[in-house]
Amino acid sequence: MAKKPDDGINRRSFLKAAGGILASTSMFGRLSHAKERETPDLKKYVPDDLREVGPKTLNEYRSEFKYTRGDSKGFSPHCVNCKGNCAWQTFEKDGRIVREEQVANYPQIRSDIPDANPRGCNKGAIHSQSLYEEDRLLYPMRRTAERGSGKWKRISWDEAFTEIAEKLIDKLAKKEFEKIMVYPGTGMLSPLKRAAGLRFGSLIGAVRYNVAGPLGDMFPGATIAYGNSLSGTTSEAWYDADYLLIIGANPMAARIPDAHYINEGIYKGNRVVTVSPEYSPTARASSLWIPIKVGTDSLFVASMNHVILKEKLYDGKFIKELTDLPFLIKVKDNKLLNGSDMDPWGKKDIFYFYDLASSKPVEAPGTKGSDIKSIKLDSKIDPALEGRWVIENAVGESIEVTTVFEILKKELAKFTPESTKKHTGIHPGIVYKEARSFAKAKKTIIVGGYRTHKYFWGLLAMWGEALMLALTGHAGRNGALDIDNEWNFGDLLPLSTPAPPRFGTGFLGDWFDMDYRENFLSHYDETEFKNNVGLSRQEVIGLAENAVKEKGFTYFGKPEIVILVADNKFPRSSAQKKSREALFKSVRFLVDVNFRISSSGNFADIILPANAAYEGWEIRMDPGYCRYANVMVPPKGLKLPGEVKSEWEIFMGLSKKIEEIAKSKGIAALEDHHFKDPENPDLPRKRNLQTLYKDFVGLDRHTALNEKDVFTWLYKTMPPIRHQPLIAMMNEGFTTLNHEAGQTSPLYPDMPFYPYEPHIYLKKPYMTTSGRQQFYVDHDIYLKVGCPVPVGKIPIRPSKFPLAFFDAHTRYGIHTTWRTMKHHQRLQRGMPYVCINPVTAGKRNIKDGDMIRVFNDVGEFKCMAKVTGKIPPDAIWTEHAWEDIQFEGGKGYNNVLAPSVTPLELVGMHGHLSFSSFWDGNRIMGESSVEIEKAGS
Amino acid sequence: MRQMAMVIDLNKCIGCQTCTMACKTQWTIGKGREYMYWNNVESMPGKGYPKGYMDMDAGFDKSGEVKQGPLPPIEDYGKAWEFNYKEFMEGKDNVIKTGDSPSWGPGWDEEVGSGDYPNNFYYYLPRLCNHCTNPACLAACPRKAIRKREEDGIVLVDLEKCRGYRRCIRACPYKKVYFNLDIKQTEKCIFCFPRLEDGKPQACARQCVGRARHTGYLDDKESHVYTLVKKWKVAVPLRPDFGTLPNVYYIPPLSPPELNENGEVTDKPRIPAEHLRMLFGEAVDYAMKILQIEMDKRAKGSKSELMDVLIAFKHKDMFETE
Repeated sequence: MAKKPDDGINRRSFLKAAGGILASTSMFGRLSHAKERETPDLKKYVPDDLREVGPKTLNEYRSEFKYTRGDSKGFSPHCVNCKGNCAWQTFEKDGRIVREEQVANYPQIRSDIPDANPRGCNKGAIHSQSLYEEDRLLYPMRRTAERGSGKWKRISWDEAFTEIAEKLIDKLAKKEFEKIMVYPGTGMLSPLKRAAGLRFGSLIGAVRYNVAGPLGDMFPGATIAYGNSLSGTTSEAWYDADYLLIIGANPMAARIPDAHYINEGIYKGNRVVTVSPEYSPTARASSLWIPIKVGTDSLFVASMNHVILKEKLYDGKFIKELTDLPFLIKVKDNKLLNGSDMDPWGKKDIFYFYDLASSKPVEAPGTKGSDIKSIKLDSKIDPALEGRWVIENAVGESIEVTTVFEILKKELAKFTPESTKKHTGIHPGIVYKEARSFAKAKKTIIVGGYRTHKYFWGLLAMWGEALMLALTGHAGRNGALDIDNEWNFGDLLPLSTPAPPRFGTGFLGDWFDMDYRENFLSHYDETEFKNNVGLSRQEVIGLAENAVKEKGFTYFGKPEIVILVADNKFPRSSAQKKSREALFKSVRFLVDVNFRISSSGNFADIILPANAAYEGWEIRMDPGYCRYANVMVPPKGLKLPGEVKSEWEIFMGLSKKIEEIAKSKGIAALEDHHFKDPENPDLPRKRNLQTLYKDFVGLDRHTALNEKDVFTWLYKTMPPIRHQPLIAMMNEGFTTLNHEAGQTSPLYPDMPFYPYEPHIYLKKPYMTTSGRQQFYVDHDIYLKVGCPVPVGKIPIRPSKFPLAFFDAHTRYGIHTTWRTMKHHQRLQRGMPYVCINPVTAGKRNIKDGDMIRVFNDVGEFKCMAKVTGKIPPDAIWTEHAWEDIQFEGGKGYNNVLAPSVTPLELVGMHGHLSFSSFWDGNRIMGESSVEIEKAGS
Repeated sequence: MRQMAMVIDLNKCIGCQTCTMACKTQWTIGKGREYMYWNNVESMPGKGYPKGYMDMDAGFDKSGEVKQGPLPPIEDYGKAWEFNYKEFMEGKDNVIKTGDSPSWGPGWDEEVGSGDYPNNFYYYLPRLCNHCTNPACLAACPRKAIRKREEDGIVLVDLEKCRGYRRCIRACPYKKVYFNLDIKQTEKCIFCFPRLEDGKPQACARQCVGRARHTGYLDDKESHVYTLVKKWKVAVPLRPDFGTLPNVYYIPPLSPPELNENGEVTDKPRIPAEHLRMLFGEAVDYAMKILQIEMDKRAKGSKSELMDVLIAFKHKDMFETE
């Protein structure tokens, strides 16, 4: 037997390497167990005297290798908003991290499923270099000239804390809590590092936004169907499934550590079908690529559902029990028949089937208002899917009813694959064949993505994807809509939210803070918009205003002080320059906490340098695509560059300074009338700045003075890792999560994770109003817009500019993080570019490598043209999240993206369609049209 | 006499460049090696790195004589562009950019591919030194500075002997020998021999998150490399016509079918067979045929040793480096 190679973390082998004697022993070792020899043609080609290398050369490379193994070692995942989470080992030499390498020691869960090693990606593999790049923030800095000038002066931490504390106290003393926003952004999504800013904000009563909405990363289409959007699987399920439909996602570039399961699945015999406008890296790797016109996903999905219904490929038993499709609808107004229709005293969240066995309406079990907390059907009841009846209510009125299923059939009858072709460009033959394959496959997963909801009708596409799975009975261990999964962290609120924060809607927050309305109006033509949507632009604007006034979407008005923590607010905003200028009409003071300069930090008043991945302590177990918690433990010999501090120490220091000033000024406890006092609900909550430091460091009964203290608390709080001694985790860099990790299903040690098992197998009601997978919304807006069921709609993209502009995640950054790194830029073009079809480019006399101007009535930017046939002729494409500061004049590509909101996401207080972390809307940015031209010199 | 070899599965390579970065941090961050990518991943069809390397007349001619191709200028590799982070931080520039006016680089034509929409196609080709059985670099060196080691077949430049004549660069048809301007000598991929001595697979292979690389000795019947190259013959070398007998092998790429003018699915793969033959020689036909047969077999639920090896259930099993 050949000896297995070392995994790279084995202590003995490290000592061997450190000893520097292994070269010769290892060589002899190899010769001694060499097996069958072939004497190939070496003798023929390589003379005898050219088969040995001098020791000087060998030792040079050996010593270089030894250097990269360091003097001390640590572990670390990376804490950015990626869907990875990977165990890396870090190597320290002379106080600096000199290299990183994956631990690659995750245990295989079952012999017939490939193991997860070695998770990681190209960014993680070179993060160490970013720690010492010249754009690293090393000292607190204060702006010395106009905003965005990039002129800074180094100041001391004490000066920085004092200035920020005074600005904050100025607002707090006036009880203007809502004027302060503390925004831990998506540049840092791991629980410990993220908690510092959240904790500080919660203690001072500051505003925090739902961070997903402004990015367009909410999944309301899934929330309608399931009650939350945690319908994802672990990535092993991609291997496990027989049929993968990938739509609105590009895992080969955006889910790099997980992507191998798709390719290995193809070798196993899986069918992988990718739907995307561009020939993406994922399309390339698929069994079939279906090119689709930009923004028409809802129409493709509707045509798939059309075929499933028309050819009766659905699973009647499944949909009768686990969906609302048999629910009764009143014919006169298309509203669901609810308890109050049947009885003046009845509840509005009780719904009915028509029971074929007893020929009468029967109350559905397990709905929100039902006394029965199960959706299990009585064996004597047989809900009708089809039919039309006149029933009588308690006071003798006749009501004509039909079923959701009937309406669904009627609505989807319009979406024949022949009719959707003119919008989607997809040949009907493809739709018929794939709908059949999809329905017949044993295990079917739709890999949905973060692009979907960036389009006006993206909600319909994703809701329709859920419908495809429901109709064909692909649920539980037989299928899923794989979008998002989060593990159970335990109760982290004492850490992140010791006092109530002002939690606000993200997408509408930005909509108002940045005056998106103006750019929405300028880009979308009234006639085109109204013809498509069925509502005028002003009506949509009115819905947005009404959403925060009356529909429960919390908004606190424009902020005046903003503290960004690893949040790159400006490059991710639509109509970027105009939005930034709008924001600075209200914002007077901007603080940026980050490890590197960003396009947003560039506009700050004060910059605070934070430590980065590798340099602190952390336990990362999100997101739930892999079943491992990875720990960050710095190497013993590591020295932090400059004066960087952890986020925890930064907000601890700021709390201390505020406490000092509050004491010296004698600022009494402040009444915060937005919240009730926890002890006496008749009184307002008090926020005491004189105890802010004590409150910040007092974590349960512990005093947390640094990240390591919090790390220990975190370990004790997270149930999914408690089985593993902390010391073992710190020695191995990770641990496998136990069964407690699963939120939507148990996490079994030897099976891929599939969501919603308790609903499918134990008939526990879903978190929807109907208690089931829900495919009918009888809200007036949905009825008016013509979408009570998941239909298809054409894009709202205006016709006044000829080209659609769309984008996708890049493999060279996690959003803007690492995007400016020279090592990534050197593998691209050294500057931002857009991809253009050769025909489109030719018509405009644009050649590959030319500088071009991309423009519309929202804005413009300049970049390089990259000409390729992977892009359709009617669109241009770029990899999103370039930094604004990479573009001429600081004008980033978001300058041409018009903001909009979709009325479907402005519904609130309608059953489970009520503002929460699962029901908030999206910044729609995929519906902009542009023109391009060669840039003038 | 043994030969260390590598098999790279082009159906599992996702073009993520993790190998490139792993190699970069292991060997080529500094010391005059900044512009070098001992391991790079290029999109095919494409001009490659350095630009147009395949069309430079190098390798061996039919009679076995080594050819001296042209010496590519640094611009054809792509300079290691430096960026103005410092000036930006000092407020002297307001855009983070390179002053090098980029016109070519190792990823310049990434995913550009060939063919009109919607029948465009591309795939990724990771490349490193092939540690050839008949190394053109070795044959071309007048200083006898290039060696092929007895114990593992690794081809190395002996820096005590190299005088920087660069005949090796001109002779190597893969252009995988690089000139180090700092030391005025040539350097190249060393197949991570210090890692192998330490029981660790090559950085590019061990860190490959696509799990696309198998490494081991060609005579080790327990190795994946043996199974794929010798037993199943599905792994083929790049440009065998160059005559250097490479020891890096590739599992040829499959591709989704083309669409016809009506938008209907055809049974024709996007990557033309002629293209694969140009790159991998006639042997690729057999490799593609076997791959398809075994995939079909596996899809029907039958066992396939070949598919199991390509899937690679255990990462550690991909490497037999002792």
